Amino acid sequence: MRIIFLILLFCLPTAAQVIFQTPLSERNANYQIKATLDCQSKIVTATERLTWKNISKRSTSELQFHLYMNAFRNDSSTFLSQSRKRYPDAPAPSRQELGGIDIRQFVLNNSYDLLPAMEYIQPNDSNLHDSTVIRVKLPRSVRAGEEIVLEVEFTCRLPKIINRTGYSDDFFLLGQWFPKIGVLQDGGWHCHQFFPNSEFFADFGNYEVELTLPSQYITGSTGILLREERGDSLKTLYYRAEDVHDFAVVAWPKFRQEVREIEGIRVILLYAPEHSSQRERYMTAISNAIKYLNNWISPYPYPQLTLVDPPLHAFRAGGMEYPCFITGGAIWGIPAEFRFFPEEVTIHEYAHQYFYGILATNEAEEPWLDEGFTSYATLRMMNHTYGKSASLSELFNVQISQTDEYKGNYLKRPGLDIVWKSSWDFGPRAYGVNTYSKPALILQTLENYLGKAVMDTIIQKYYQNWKFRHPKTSDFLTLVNSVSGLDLGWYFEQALQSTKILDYALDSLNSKETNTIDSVNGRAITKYHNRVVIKRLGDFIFPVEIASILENGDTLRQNWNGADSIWLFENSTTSRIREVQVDPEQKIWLDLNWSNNSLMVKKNYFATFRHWLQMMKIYQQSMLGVLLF
Amino acid sequence: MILRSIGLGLIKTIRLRKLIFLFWSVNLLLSLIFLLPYLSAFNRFFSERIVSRLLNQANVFTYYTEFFYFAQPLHLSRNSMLMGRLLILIISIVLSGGVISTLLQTDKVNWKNFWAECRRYLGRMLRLGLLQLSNVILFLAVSILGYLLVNYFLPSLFIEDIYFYSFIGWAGFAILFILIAFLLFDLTRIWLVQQNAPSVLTALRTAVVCFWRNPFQIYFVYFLQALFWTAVVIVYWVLQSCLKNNSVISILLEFVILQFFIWIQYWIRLSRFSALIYISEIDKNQKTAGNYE
Repeated sequence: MRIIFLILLFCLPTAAQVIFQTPLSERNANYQIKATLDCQSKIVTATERLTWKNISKRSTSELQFHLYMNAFRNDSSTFLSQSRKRYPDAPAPSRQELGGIDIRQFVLNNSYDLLPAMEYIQPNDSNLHDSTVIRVKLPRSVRAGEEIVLEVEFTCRLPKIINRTGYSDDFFLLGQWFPKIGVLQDGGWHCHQFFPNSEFFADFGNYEVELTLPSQYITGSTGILLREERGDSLKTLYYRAEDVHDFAVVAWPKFRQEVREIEGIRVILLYAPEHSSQRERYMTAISNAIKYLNNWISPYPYPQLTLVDPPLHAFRAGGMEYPCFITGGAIWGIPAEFRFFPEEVTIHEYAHQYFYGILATNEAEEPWLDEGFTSYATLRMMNHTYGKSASLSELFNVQISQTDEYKGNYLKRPGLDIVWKSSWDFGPRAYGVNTYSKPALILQTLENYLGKAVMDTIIQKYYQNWKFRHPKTSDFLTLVNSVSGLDLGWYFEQALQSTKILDYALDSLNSKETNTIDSVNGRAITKYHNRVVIKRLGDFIFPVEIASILENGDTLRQNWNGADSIWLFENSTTSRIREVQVDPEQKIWLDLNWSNNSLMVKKNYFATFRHWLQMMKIYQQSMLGVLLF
Repeated sequence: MILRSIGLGLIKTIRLRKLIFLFWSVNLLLSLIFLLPYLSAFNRFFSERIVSRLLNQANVFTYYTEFFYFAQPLHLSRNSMLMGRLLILIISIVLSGGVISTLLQTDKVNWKNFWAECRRYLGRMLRLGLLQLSNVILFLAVSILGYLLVNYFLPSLFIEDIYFYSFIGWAGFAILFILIAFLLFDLTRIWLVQQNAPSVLTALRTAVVCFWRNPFQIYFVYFLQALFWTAVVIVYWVLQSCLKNNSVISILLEFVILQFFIWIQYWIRLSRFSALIYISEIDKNQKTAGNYE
């Protein structure tokens, strides 16, 4: 017994160090980071040991690294200069609020000093003031399958919180804070500059992070806290994360913490004390999201999730995803009927654990793959959890659903740009609608076209085939065709690669009564001759169903392929047509204007006057408002 | 004195109900004129489409968004609706001299005298209107200043509820500022006519003195009338929620109830002037009596 105990005791530290007995990913970019956060100067001083394996099929003579923090180094960086152009009213950071990262030492395999061979490159826009990407020429090529070890010493000056990283007073969010190697894929480096719209892309690996910071700080991170060593005024935390492609840390002395076990996952909520009344809302939202995605796609594979609620002054840290780590957002006193915060943001960021965290798509090159799929998942989860009609808000009895939000965004800018393109190529205001709202509508329309069961199979297979890898748009499209057994190129070409607008409209409807005599029994027969004209107002062609509802309650259904811009159909019925509806079940969420999809033979003047009267009420009352006495 | 002034104001104004009818009919007429272009948009959208039925189900917000986005006549009539508001503002300035004179002098509306008084005070009421407009600019300036001050003095590490209460406090101050400015201008109109003051500023000064001497009485006139108005609004909402809106009669009935509601609001507004006249007359008498001592 004693021997067994001793063996167990011997094995315990080793077992505690390992999270997954079998690796979930290729683990070709493994980091060991020792960092010290100086909370006064807002500087992180660190050493990084990166073990990198060339998993591509070709050898490489150079390495490329992201230095994302240099986006905040000067006003002329691509990130800040473009941000200024896009959002001229946004306050520019002062000199003290800028950040940056400096590499002090860069050694290969403990022998070659790579620092002289390091140069800043600008692969996307040739802006020489941008230093977010470095290239390092190697003394000799790294062959396919070969592993190298790089030791980097760096200091990272954190910016005043911007784009979900930095500090705000004594609050710190360390995101994109260390030199991160790009992805060598398809014979080339995928290592892009940091743009205001672009997000991230990296290979999977293990992270062992030692972080030293003042003892009073409460922290959370991507990793699992293995142990903590406390000194007089400082403490060192030992974190480990496996099969992830990034590592974020949050620290704030005022955080309160709540830990719950949800579906076998340890959920750590770090929340601002003033948001304690919203703690339960966070927990309910994350619990619903975990359960939904566990059932719909696959169980969340990691043992832990950290959910961060930043204080209002660090609100820019909110609404962000990192592996096993998400930031939400809440405002003090926000009513429970208003679910944009914290429910929607929590659910959305959690969905990113699948569509970014595990299905590690290239967020810079194909942003729709993470934001679009996440928005689609958000749509499903919000409508499922909080009801279809008012999933986002029912404050003051004004019902707003997640569908309304996406459709409303799309309505404002329907043909502004295409969906399938790099994040940095989007024009002003085109990124949001084309990476979030429109892709969600595209995927929901696809679901309605193929059926929920088929779509669920597609998403599940997409996950199973590509988890812990880097799927591309073409991989997803191939999978859709394979699972559905259809060639849906015509749909994706229009939806993803064109600015074509989908809008069907019922143009006219006539139902004329005709009386004939039955030749057999000589009786008078009343028939109705119906004439319906449907127009395709946009260039987007999509098959659509048309339902003619007769006064006797019968419904005649017809299908139109939408190929022509106008379709006229005539028929005879024994009962008068009451109304005709294009897409009666509202399956085509991409239809820009649902309101013009129907016509009624008998006009409903009550509806007109009822709504007109509402306007009259508002107007007459507003007239009283401008009266000077 | 407060309740008496309000009561007398309501009684006197109901005797002068022709004035109320005048304002109500102007309101109705202008609303009809400027809302007519909407009717075709509403008709196309709601009478021929099934959206009115769908509006009771899911995606209510989407339908309203689509309506406001695609109903072209709605966009065209936006400017004309603004014109309507501007027009009623001008009409109210033009009529104010006649209204206050009538409230001050008689229990019967003599239209000849009414229009003569409107003409007589038109210039001064117009100047007062402009002064009131400058007051709006002053208010905006003070509000922006306040916002900047709150942002400047609250450090970045502010605690959220303090921040919230600071803004709520500022909003409270702004509402008080608006109310005081509003009632001072109301009093100025009265003193302008009551004293036939040659200058708007003289009347404004007298109004400030009157408010200084009777702040609670004047404030409570507004407060109690606001309570009365709230009660009327509640009754109105209850009444209209009882209507099913599915027949010609119910729609007509709702229209009638709406007009009655608007009519009552004009009654409350005009009676407030009458109540203020009562208070200012007492103030004037006290001042005169004081002078004799």
